[in-house]
Amino acid sequence: MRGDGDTEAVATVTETVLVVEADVLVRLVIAAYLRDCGYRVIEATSADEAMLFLGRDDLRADVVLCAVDLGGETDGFALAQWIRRQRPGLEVLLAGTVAREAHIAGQLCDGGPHLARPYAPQVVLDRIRRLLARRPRG
Amino acid sequence: MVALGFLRMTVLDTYAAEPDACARPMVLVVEDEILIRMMVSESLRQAGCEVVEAASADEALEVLELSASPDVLVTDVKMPGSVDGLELASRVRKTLPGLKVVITSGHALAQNTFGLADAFLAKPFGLDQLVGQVRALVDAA
Repeated sequence: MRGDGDTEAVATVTETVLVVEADVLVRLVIAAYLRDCGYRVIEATSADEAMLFLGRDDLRADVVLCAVDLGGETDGFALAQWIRRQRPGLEVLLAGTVAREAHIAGQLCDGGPHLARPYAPQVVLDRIRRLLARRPRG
Repeated sequence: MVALGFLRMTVLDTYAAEPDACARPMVLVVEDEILIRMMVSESLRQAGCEVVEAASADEALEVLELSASPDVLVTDVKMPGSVDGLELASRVRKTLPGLKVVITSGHALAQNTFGLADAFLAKPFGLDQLVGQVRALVDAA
């Protein structure tokens, strides 16, 4: 499902994107797209799953793409706050649909105000690229 | 609410538009523990499979309703949700008789899966064992 102009993204990308999305159909589409672009993608269905993954010292992600509404007790905002405390420096992209969510997400994430759902895959890819590009090397 | 029309098209496109994706066997992995799901899925991807991940039998049924049919279903038994892995396998046997089913479990016994699965793997199982089993089922199809 690679779109026009994505060719340059496929190559030697080895970064890991943790996709946290409760809707399986949304999750599989964006995960497949990011894998096509060369990323290693870990799929989490909830904040609890994401925290379980990120809490392991032997596992790591470079970017977390997280829906605001995760359907459980912990939403994307709470997960982003947890990541800020537990994994400072880990980039988080929050995605939601409501203006108020956008405002809160803008305060929680350095990588831009917010992403709109349903995801526009190319926009997600561009945002991930930008976040990874500005990280300090080494 | 997501745009289901858009999604239906996109999910199908994901597996229909790419010749490479069609050439590879597709495996639907159904497992509620993220670390196991991740290890199983990554092992199968490294073995050349296209993998779709579901965290419950409910999610798997949703995927099966909307996306192209996988070649192999690998499912755990005990999972949260309205349906467990045995019921998922039972439904799949009726609706998709050509779909190969591998049941994995740390609780269920192999004899409980008789008639529902083409293979049973007791947890903990080796990833090589699982990949070999999936490959054998694909080759035999």
